[in-house]
Amino acid sequence: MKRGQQISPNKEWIRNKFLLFCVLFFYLNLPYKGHAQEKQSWWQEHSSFSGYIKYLNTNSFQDLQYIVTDNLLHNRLNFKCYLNPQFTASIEIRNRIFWGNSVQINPNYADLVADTQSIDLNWVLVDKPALVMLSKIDRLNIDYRTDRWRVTAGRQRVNWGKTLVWNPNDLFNTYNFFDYDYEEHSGSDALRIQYFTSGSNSIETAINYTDSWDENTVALKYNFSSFSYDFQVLLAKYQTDYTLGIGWEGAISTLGFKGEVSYFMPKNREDNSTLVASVALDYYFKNGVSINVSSLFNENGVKDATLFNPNQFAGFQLDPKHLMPNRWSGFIQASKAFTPALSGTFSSMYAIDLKGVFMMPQLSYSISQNWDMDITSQLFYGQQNDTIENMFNTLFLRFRWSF
Amino acid sequence: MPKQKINLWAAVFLLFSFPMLFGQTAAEIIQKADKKFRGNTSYAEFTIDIIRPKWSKQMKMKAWSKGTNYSVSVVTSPAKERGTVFLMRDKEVWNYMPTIDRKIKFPPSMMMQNWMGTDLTNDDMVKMSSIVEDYSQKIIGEEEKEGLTCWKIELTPKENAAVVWGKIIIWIDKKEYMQLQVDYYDEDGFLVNQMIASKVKHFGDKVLPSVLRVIPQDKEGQETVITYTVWKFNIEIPNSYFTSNYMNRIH
Repeated sequence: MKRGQQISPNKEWIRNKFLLFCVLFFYLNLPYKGHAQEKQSWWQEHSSFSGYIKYLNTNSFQDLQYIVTDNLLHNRLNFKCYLNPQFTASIEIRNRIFWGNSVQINPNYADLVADTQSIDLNWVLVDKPALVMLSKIDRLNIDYRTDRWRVTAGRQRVNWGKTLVWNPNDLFNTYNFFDYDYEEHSGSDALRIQYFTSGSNSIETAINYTDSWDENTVALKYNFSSFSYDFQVLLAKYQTDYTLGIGWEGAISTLGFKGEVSYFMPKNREDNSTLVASVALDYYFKNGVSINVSSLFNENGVKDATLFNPNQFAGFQLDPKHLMPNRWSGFIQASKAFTPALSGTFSSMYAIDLKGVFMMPQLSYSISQNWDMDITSQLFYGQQNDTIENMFNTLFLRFRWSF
Repeated sequence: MPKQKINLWAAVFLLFSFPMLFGQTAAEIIQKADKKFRGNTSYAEFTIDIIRPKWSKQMKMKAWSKGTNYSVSVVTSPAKERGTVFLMRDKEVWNYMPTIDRKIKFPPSMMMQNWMGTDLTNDDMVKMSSIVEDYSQKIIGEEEKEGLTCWKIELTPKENAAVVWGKIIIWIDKKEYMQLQVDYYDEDGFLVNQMIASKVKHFGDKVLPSVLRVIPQDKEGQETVITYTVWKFNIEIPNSYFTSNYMNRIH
């Protein structure tokens, strides 16, 4: 889907058919799945099908002069076919229907939420002033595996992160902590080759496809275990930077100790090199409370609050070089499972140089076997005229049915 | 044959036959029970019911094990957690989450957390065998459980052993060496957890209880029930199954 492009009636018909096919495939598959317990066909034994339907209600407000209310119906279909012990084919589709105040206010809403990549696998099925419906294939790959080798080609998630919040080593699919409703994250159109030297050691290389060479990433990573630590060392061309990185997962006594450091050196020597480092400690108490404390240093980040408008914070575009717009950041998260069904998490991020604070309390409840709900709030506070003021708030209510 | 030599042979014979004449030691019984439960390798399919007074949840899992130090398990139901893998190698644990395609190493403190909302800790799942190494065992009596005569064995932690429990009492039946009940006491001597085994069944050539109930004593109406549907022993499992590189392939 190209921005602002008109969809011809014929194309629209084809796209609608495609969606109908996906929906039908899902529903036809359900009774078949149950029946298959007695006698499994080749198809049943060699494929897996899963997904969810989520409803997300979003209410955004600053003061209570007005509230912007939005709705999102979100369906995910994951399909895997284990062709033989070596080959696995995967396709995962994300279907979303938006309606509410933001859709009404913004005539280009479909473009805003489309998340377009160099290879376009987006379909805008409905683009009306009051309702937008999109479909996207965010995984489409073939995986070949032997005892020593693994080759994955196609749209996939290359997840190289080690820590919870900030991942300077995650060069392909940067994780955004704020975007809590899309944990799968967009895929990269990539070729990834892994060679397993032993049970926990491996060497891997990945390259992704983008329109221009200056936007793509080529990386080599070595994973190894030593002194009860899992390490990774990476060497990459990340867009226009040469990059060196190291990440680790281990423990200091009983305290979990994880970290990621990346050093970006621009090809253009006039630009400054940047060190981005994130270190995290976590601890699980006997009473079910867990604590995570993380910090981020971004050498090129903004040092002075007067240079940054806190209003830009929410729309900030994240990448491994700019995980936060500022230089020093801190994060703390406390979680507790009150019962197996009810758990609460409180996360707080502090952009030290900007005197900006982000808070995210979340309460999750498992209604029944496949039904879940959660209430999440995101609160932003920032410096305005020498005082810290509330900038923006969002309250989310989410229901999820998994299948 | 000189008389002295006969005496020596008699002494050797007596030395070796002593345990046979007077029964096995508590440690041997526990080792035998543990070995039976585990086999050299094992594969199991089981359901876990987490029961609370007004709420319940059922999970289904598959698990493979080799010896006492290696095991890997995968959640097959409910849908939300399907494909989640746990790998235990020696005393280290990794967790693979398919939705984000990432493996996470458990920090040591996480071992004392309840495992996936059950009444078992992660430590219970990994260190079930350490009762042989970390505790001193003593037979303290004989009792009937599930209609079978059992040895009642008391375990007390060895000095400096990093263990969770102050005392453990195990009932092992005399014929099939099945652990039919385990009572866990805290350091102050209070009964904290009880594991009761029942519904003895044939799994291949082994006779084992198919239902294990874990009941925390201080929480009314709360328990975790593990029901084995498939249990195979001494089957061929490649070593690669128990490596972190293989985790995303387990299904």
